[in-house]
Amino acid sequence: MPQSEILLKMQGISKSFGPVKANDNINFEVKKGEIHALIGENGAGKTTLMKILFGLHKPDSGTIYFAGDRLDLTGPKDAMAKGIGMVHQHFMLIPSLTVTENIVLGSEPKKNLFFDIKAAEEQVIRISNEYGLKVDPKARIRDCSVGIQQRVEIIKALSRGAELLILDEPTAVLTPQETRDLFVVLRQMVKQGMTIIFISHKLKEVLEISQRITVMRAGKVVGVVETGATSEEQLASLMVGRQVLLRVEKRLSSPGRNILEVKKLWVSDQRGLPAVRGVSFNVRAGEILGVAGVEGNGQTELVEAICGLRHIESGQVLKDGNELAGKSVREIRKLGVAHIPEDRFTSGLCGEASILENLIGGLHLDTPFSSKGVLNKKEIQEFVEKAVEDYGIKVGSVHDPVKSLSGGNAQKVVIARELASDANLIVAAQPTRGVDIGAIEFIHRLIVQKRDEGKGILLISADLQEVLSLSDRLIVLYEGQIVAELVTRQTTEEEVGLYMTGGKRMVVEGGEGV
Amino acid sequence: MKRLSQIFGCNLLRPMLAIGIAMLIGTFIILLSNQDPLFAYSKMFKGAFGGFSRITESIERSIPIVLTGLATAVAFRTGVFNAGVEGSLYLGAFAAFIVGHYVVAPSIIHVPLTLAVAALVGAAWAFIPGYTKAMYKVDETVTTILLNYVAILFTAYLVAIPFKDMTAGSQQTPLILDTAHLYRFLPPSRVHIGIFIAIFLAIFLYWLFRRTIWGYNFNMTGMNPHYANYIGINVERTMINSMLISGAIGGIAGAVQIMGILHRFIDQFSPGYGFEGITVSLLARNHPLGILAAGFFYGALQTGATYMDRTTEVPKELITSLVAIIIFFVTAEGLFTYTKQNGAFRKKLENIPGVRKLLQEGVDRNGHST
Amino acid sequence: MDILHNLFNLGTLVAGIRIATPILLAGLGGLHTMQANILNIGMEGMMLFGAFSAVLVSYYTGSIIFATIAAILVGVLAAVIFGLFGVKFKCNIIVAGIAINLFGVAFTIYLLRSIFHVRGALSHPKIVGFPVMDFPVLSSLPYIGELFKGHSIIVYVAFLMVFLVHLFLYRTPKGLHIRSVGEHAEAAASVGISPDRIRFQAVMISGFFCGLAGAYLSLAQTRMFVENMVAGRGFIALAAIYFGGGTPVGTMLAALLFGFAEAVSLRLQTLGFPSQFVLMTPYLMTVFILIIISYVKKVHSQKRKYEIA
Repeated sequence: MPQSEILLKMQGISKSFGPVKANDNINFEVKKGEIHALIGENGAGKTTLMKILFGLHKPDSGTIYFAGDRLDLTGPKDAMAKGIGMVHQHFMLIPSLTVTENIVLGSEPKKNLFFDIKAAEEQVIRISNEYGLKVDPKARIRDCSVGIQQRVEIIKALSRGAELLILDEPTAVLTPQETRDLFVVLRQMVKQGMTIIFISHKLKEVLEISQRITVMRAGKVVGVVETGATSEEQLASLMVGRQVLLRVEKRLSSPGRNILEVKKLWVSDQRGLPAVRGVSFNVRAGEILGVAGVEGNGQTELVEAICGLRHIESGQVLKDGNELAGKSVREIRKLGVAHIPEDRFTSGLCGEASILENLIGGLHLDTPFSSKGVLNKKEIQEFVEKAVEDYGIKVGSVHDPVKSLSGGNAQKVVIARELASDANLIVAAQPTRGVDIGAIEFIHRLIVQKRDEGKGILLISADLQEVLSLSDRLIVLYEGQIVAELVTRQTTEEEVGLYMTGGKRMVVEGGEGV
Repeated sequence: MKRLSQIFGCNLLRPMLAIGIAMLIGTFIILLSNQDPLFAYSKMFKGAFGGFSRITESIERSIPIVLTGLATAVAFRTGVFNAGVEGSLYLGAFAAFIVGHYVVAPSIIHVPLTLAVAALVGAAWAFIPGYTKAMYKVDETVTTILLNYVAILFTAYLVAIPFKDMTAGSQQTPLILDTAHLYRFLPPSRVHIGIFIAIFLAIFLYWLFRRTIWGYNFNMTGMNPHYANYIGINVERTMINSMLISGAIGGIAGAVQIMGILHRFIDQFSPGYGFEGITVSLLARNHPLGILAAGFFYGALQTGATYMDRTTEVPKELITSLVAIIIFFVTAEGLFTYTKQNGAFRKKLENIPGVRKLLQEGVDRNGHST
Repeated sequence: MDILHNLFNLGTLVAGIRIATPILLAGLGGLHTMQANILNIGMEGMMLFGAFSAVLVSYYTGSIIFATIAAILVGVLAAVIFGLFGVKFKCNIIVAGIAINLFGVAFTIYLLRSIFHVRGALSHPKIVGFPVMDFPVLSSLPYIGELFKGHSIIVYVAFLMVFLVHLFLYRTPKGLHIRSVGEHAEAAASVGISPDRIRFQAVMISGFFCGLAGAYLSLAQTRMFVENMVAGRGFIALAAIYFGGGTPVGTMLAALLFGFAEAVSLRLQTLGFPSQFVLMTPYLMTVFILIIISYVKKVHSQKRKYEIA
């Protein structure tokens, strides 16, 4: 199989979002007929680079050459016309339409005035046979499994003449069997002359399927390697890199009794598939338990289950000995659980409401902020003034809408509110995401301070440095399971990186569940 | 001006602009029908405000509108599109007739009792779409609109057969007792103490929204149900509560019209007070005190239009047409550009994973959820 | 027995078909907006504009063809206003619907009074109605042939439209686009279909049908224009769409059912029975069906308790 010809060449690509350089002078090459893996941590800039290639973002600088021609993409339609196809992580399929209808949507074959279903189905069958992508052209999408839906997406891209196919974390939604099937298909496609860019976090898979690997970190390309000449250890260390840690001043923890006990917890995601699979761990008073892991490995579901926002399928969650399963958010909060949610502006705050209103959310249900259903204006005013001062929230007026605040100040509003209830368990999910450096330091100090006051803290972060610098112990989630339980002082970024990417796993007691 | 817009919690500029555009379009229409727009508008103004009898008529006309406006606003605030105030109004009105006609009691008991029963009936009626919306996500707009017809037809049956006043030719009930009348304190006009009920309820709701747990829950559920749920508000119960209050006020609106003006139940007595309430609530952006003002404005428009109709060659329906135009322009979010802040905030939001879809849903909410 | 015979005879069926026709026409229009995920409660107003324009043009030209064209054009024009504000300028779509209805009722009365200087109703010998005809072949069948006799031509057109709409929605690319935008606008946009443009087109199609439905009311069912003569049929049409499960054939069956219910209630009225309960049934049945559908859905996704309406 000749592999020398360069199909895609991206040169000097830079793209900034505000002050953040998502892509910093990136050079990226893909040879014709190869499966090229693109790996890196969350926020490394992979998705941005691919969106630029697919015409969804315009680069600030740099040029793209595809099949020898220079590309100036105006949008996805343009990219598709040039022969670039992309399968997104979230499928763009219409459930009640058939496989065929989804594939040809927007460019349907016509016979007179009508949509020529026969011709469309023949087209689907032809591509399906050519690449070994077995689908039933007449089936409705809503009756198809996720694996089949992904095939439909691939056929959709191929039927629009794709020569280069971008697969954005294609295995994230698949079962192991479906992943094996996908790999068979991908190999078949490459044999037919297709070129594939394969984005993933899972090093094992990358090593299995790709010919070459480009590693990205913090907006830069940090390595391009031949798959045959590398190892999981090398890739993991390239991905996480060696940087000066954000140092957080803190003493050794002196943990006390168990505040939170999670036993064999199973939680499902939106689609009803298991996202948290038999997880067991404890959080003790006076310690920070970090949860490391690439996003989408069950962290969101774990947090929501503990905080009463998601149904618990099985297992136990005990807070100071009280079962939380089946309790409402309100009851759980009353038992002393504070929750800093990962999606600040979706659920953590009410953007249109004032800073004052956001500061008292949840607190407003109890004394001293209300009595007999009436809000206590004086108490609230005093509390809000104090919170604004204590947390250094920069506001014009507390009656301004909270959406007028910067990310850091908005997050301080969330934290001020959550910590005011004096809960002894603090669940902090991505507490410093999208927050400026000053606020990050402030939030980190606060978390350590709360630990020292004897509270239990469950810290969930996709930022490995944050987990390593803050937590006393940490667990690593991979595909909904705990694959490692480590003492932070005794581990390294490389080791954790390996666990996070599925390169290694410990036998953790109770971790396997069923 | 600044102060005023603070009190009413909304920018007055847009309603003013919308009214201006509508008047301009109205001018064209009047010119096209070969009439004098200035003359017509001046007659309308005179009809609404020119003298004691005109002003009192405007007030009288605005009482039910203010009440239905308030009823609508409570639900809107909570993000529930209750188009069914009309139904609560009819049933509340009929309940008021029953209590007003059959219960014998001194005025001091009879009046509050009648209002209370009407409120209960209105609330019970609104409970159906409220409960099904909160628990099963049944589209409340569709159910409330359809249930309006059920309520109107049901009362039409009651007034046609079992409770018909046999001495009257038209479909109406006998009179209610004097003790259930709302006192008319500005004779010879028909302005009755229902106006104080309306003012009281407006102030009460203003207080409720600003100073109570319920109000907080209503506002947050309406603005961001995900946030409300996350901080421990029972979103479903909040929606139901808001529909109960909405229905209760709708019931009171009907009762007030019976007890203050008609003194009996008449088939089809409402010229669409429920829908007028929606208009008024939109104009005032669901602000209770704003609804007082907008309701009076609407009532004055209607009486002014009737007067104009009598004294000029321009039919009064022109004014209702202009109201429709006002509604279009007041609610056209995309027509007047977002403030800078809004735009930046939205962009910020869109960069957060998952939020895009939510925003999309927000847009789709404009359509309907199946 | 006599009463039953009086209620359920061929005559009632024939009357039912005639009552069902405008509901069916408007329903077929609203079907397109529903499939595009737009809650169109503005059909009432669009029908009124259609009804008035039909009478106006019929009166001045004496041509039923011009009258029909005018009704359709004005129906579409009303839909354009509705779409402009509801889709393009992002008014709340329900509010836009309420506004177009209000505008329809008031402005047609305004025009009636300004142009013809009459109140309430306009009927005049110069107003030409739709011709009446028998449906070929079917009308000569024994017994049931009666059902296909003596209707206005639009009645046959309406039922023919069910077939055409079905073909359009399920067999043409445009129909596919409308359905895909309604179900998953983002996915449709990802293959280059503009959701807003499709929504606007769906709204215009609904205006076409509502205009025709209006013309039926004023030139076939009657030969006059009456203030607010649509009288809630736009909402019954909406109910018929929901009741019929959002399909053309389902909408037709629902419209027929509602039409027969009204025909029966009219008979009941002449016999001295209260008709209101029968008139209520379309609304009650639809609300009931909506609740059942949502309840079943909820039971299916019982696990996802965190999701909010």
